[in-house]
Amino acid sequence: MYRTRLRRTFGAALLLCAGLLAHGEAEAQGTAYTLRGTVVGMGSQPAAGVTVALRNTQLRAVTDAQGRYTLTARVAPGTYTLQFSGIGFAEASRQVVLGAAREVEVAPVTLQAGAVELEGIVVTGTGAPVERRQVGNTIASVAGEAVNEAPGAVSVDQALQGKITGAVISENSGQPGGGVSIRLRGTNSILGGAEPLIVVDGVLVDNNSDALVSLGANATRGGAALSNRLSDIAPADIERVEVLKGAAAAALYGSRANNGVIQIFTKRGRQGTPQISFRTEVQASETDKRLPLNMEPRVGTADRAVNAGLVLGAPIERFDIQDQIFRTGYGTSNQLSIAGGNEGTSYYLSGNWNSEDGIVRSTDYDRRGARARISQRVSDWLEVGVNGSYIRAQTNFVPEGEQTQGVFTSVVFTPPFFNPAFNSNTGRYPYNPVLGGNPLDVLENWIARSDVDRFLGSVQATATPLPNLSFTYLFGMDSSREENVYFQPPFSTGPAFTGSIQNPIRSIRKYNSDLTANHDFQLNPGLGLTTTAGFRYTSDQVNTVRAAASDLPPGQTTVVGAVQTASQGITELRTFGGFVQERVNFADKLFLTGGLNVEGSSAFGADERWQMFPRLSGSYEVGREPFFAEGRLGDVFSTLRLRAAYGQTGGQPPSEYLNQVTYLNVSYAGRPGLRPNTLSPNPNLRPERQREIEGGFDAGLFNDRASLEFTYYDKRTSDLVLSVPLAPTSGFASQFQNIGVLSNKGVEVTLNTVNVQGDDFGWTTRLGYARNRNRIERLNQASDTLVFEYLNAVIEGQPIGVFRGAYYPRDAGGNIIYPASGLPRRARTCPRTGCRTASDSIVATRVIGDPNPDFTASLGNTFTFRQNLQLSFLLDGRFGNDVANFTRRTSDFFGASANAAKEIRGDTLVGTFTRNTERNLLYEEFIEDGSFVKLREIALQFTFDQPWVRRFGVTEMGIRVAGRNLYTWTDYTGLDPEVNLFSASTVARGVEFATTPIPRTFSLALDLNF
Amino acid sequence: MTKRFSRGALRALSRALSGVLCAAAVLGLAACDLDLINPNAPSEEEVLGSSDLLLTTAVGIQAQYAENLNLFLRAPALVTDEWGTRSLALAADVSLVTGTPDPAFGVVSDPFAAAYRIARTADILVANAPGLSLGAGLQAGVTSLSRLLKAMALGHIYIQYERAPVNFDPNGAVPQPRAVVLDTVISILEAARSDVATVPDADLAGFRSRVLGTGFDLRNTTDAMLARYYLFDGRYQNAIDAAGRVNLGVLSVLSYPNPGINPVYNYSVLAQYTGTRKSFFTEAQPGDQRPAYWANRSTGYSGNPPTVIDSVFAFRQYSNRNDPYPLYLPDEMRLVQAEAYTRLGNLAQARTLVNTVRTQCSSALNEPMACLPALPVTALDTEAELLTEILYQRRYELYAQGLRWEDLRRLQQYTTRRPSIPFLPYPQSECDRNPAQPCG
Repeated sequence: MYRTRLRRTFGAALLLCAGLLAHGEAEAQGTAYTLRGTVVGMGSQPAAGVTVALRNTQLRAVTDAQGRYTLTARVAPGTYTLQFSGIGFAEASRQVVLGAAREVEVAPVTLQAGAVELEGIVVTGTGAPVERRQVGNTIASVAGEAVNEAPGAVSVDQALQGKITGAVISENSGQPGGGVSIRLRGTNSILGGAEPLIVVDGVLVDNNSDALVSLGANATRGGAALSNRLSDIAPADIERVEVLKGAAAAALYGSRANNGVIQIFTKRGRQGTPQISFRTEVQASETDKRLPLNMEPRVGTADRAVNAGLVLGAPIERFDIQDQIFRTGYGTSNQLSIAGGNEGTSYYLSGNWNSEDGIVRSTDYDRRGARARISQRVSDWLEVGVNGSYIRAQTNFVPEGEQTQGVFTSVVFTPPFFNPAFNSNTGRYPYNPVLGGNPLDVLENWIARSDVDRFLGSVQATATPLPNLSFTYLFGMDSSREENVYFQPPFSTGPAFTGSIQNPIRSIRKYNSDLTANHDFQLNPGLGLTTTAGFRYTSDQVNTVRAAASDLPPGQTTVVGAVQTASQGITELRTFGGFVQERVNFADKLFLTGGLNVEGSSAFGADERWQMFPRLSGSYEVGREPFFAEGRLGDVFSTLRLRAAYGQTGGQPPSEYLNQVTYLNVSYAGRPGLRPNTLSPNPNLRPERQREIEGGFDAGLFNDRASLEFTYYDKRTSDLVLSVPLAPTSGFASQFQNIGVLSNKGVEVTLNTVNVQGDDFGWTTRLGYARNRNRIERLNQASDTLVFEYLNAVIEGQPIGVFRGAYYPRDAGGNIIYPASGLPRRARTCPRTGCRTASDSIVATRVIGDPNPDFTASLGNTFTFRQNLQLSFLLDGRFGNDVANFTRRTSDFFGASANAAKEIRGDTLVGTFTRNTERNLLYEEFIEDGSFVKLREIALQFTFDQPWVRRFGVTEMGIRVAGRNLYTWTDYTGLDPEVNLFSASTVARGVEFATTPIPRTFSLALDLNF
Repeated sequence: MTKRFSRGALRALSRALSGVLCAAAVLGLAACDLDLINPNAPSEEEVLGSSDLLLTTAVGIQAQYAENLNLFLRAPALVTDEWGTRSLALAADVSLVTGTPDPAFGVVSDPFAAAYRIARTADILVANAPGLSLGAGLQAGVTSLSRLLKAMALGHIYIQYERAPVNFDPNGAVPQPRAVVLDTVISILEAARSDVATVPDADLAGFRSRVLGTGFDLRNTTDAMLARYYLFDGRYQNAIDAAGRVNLGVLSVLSYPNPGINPVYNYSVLAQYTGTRKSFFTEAQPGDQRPAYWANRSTGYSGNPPTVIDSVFAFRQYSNRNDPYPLYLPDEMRLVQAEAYTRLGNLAQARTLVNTVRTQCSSALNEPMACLPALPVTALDTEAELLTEILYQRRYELYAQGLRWEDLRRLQQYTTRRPSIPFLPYPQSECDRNPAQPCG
């Protein structure tokens, strides 16, 4: 039955395609023209990477390093417009007349530096490449150089910090190899992931941060890893990054786009002689941040609490081992690429090697990768290409954060009378009196390694049977294997410890198969139609196998031991859908787009499987209207575009199989048994659905020397999946239901200016400002408080993840009320049933902080001197976000901090800081303002292309001295307000607890272009 | 948005679409099927379609009952004079002793949750066992066992709540008066009995070796439960008959070999939440051997709250993690009969049975023995005297069997002793979450 219908539908589809082709064929038999020309920029430098497009067709070419382009076009004779657009340039256009001559030489075009980029081509979320001015939603793009040249950035997300207005990009830990969280226009889920969908050259790639072995937060806390997999993509290969920040832009990505989409485009070859580029960079990373420790040379009560044999007030030696933990980490990254091509073939080949030592001893990161991208024009209507990269990355971590054997954790937990130095009498490192293990032993002898092998690739074919009709097919694949080893040697945490080794392996395979058809139709000179239709099939498979052993034989570092365990978990998620979209172009000034995506996912129940995601947007270039351009406003605004967009997207539920019921293992009387799960399946589970409305304008001022982008957005994500407790008589405990609602509203402003433009000196500025207000609109019950980890809470009417906990009692004037003892005490309240006696009172809690920033801002400046010398810097700031300083909490409690010294000196009451369980739970005490401004990047670059350089066989040479995170302005008293104990967690954010601070990095780079 | 489109139209559209798209996914991606099965655990469909897995689930339902046993025993023991709370006990446990449990507490909703989960599993097993090609003995055994455990779980609900649903319903179970609950318990037990009534023991051999836990006696337990609940229902002759069918020479127990753990041990001994109340010793008749069988007078702990309980004492039974728990005690049958005969006016027969219980001094089984002298006829020649003596005997014979609360309620007129609360409040979670809005 189903099969017959399938065959019939397929047949109909083929007929439809054939009909469409025949129709087009009859309509226009074109002539094959070849258009050639060059594009130059400032100072007559060749402008590479400029898109040259024949307006109203699908035909386009990109300039090579010499600024040359060749565009083949089979079109009817007539007058056409060629459009030139490149990031950082003002757009330009040229009329060309195509007549009898098939080879057309177009006069050289000079592009001016420009702050306005309305005509740049964007791809992501638009179905097919389209000029930005025609799109009603914002699409942020970042040019490849800004990513390639980000100093000391190992991963793309690090390189993007401060460059996308409305994106909060945080490094979660200073250990090497990345570990970055991205929030685009706020957090959009509660139980689901919050990280955006990552697409590389059309391939939907994995960016998981699920810990195979927990090295930061404990495994029970969501299992977020110290690193994420976006670090597998070498920044040097990137040509451009496009970012969609919400549903209005991302509707075509359907049920996995609630968190936005980041599409990364890698470099491709261009016609011309082979371009060989070599870059080598050496870098040094370090931190001068140290926790101030208790160095008072007398025994205090906190010391005695650990070692009762000590005599209060007696002299004692103190040891600060932080200098033995931190070091300067040196690293190098190297990239060699060859790109080129002829009229039929283009290729891009590259190899890269990145090796760096972390600022914590024994940590390092090593990544080797190669990429090949080849494209072949088979005929004047068909182009095929393959694109593949292989990456091998190895990271050596050390445990930190909540791990009891964490290295920095040990500093926080231990009164510094403990001398961890190797004891030659016992022949081993002494045991920590609080935690058991020894941080120096961990650094020296433990293994916490991650190995990743990953292949990312695609095959692609683009057919242009008619100038106005194109089909693109892409099959993409991301196949990776990550293996972790966590080796804890016997006796390392105590004399009874028999050693443990964990060796989990996770294999991930992701496929996507996309077909897109695009058709342009000029109904009459004032009305154009662009129809796009496509489909996408995706499959994500994850297979995790865990092997572990304990009771290890001496010297054993593989999984062999008296006690062995193994387990396996398999998941698969498939989605499948199609979309249609119509863009109407009125007089090349007003553009309206409407689209609909229909998508099914295996994660939803059969009745709710198929979901629709509509979108609608409009873009109006009011600046092109004579009444505007000739009016008074026209003198101020060189261009003005108004835009508005509406769209819906979905989010996948927290697990793939919540629509099904499974049975659990139990055993009874020695026999294996099964019982129904108390988690009720939900066959009606739907995606979390976001709808976003955004509107704004893009204005070019002062002859496009300045551009101002303003956007207001309103996102509402409903049907949030929450765990809902069921009535006991249902026979179940809980069910995941689509019940929650949250919203994100905000504004984004970006100002780009070309302050000075001259042959000798140029100066450009980029200023970004974004504010977002998150609010939990609805939970299962209004009184619900969902607490994540220590103190991040989800409460109706509050932003997601606010800090909730005990607070100080205060008088009417806001002064803290201390009890007679003078020591901190938590505020109390009466329980629901009332207070009969004073002892009935319970500790009161309330919202005490908010880790979400009030606003973020960034400022970038680039100064160019005589084309040969460039100075740039980027400031990146976050304002109004609170951080829970749990490092301070614990180091005070255990007497490790300098505060403990105050007690010993008698500067304050004993017990003010140390061993005070009341204060230890008084979370308000540890909430601090985490606002910061970081000098993210600063770079000084010399470029040499004088004849003397050529004597070395080089056409161009660049030398760059740069730094990353060189300075931080903040009132935060801990080591770094940016890190997060729970790394990529959706809700639990802004908790700093014995987490490695983000290093500052100095780098020196040499670029050689042959 | 989607709501505005008819579901059928959307599905038809999607099917057409999937046809086109699947066909176009030419690169060997055969699987466009979106019906993916969770490979990490057996699905309900798989379990109910396989005789092996169904039998395994019948093993599992015993675990469901055995693991949750303490939830059924906790309130009846704490609101009466059986158990007292220790200093480590949770506030919710203490509230049972002081008679102030909040309807939102787990101690109030836990028995509910456990019982209806067992009932749900039992219904699944009863509904699906006949569809598989199980032998007559296996099918009868699984059905009977499932019904028995469901009835026992519902029986605990009868003892603890003033009203309760007798069945669960996705649209919300509606609570029924106690009498309806009791009738339901009895009719399920009768069905359980008739499931295996005509099945020869030989045919149940496979059921015993594959499903039934060590020491679990299906027929005896079913009859014992029938006797217990017939008595509660005032069906005295039925109770006498059912009790008469029980073989008093065997025990029927829940067993807890490793990795299992006796939940009473876990809660009371390991977690140190409860102990035997002092009055259990001080109120025993001189010479009664049973207080020392159940508890250890020489190991005492301070009580919580001290104003209510000055001290509690360590358990002797269930003091090891693997100790089995008797599903009923043989002398319960004698006491059921004694009470029924008393109510029917056959005081002589009742007297004989009471004295049999009183004078037991030896047994091949691990059971409590009073080893008291027989009472003279003059001490037991009225209904009131007999019922008072029966209540005493039940207190010491059937300690921590979850029966004391109902015994006090049933025989209340003969005692001044009151439990801290007459019933558990109706669970708040039911009030809040049950779509039938059982609390109005």
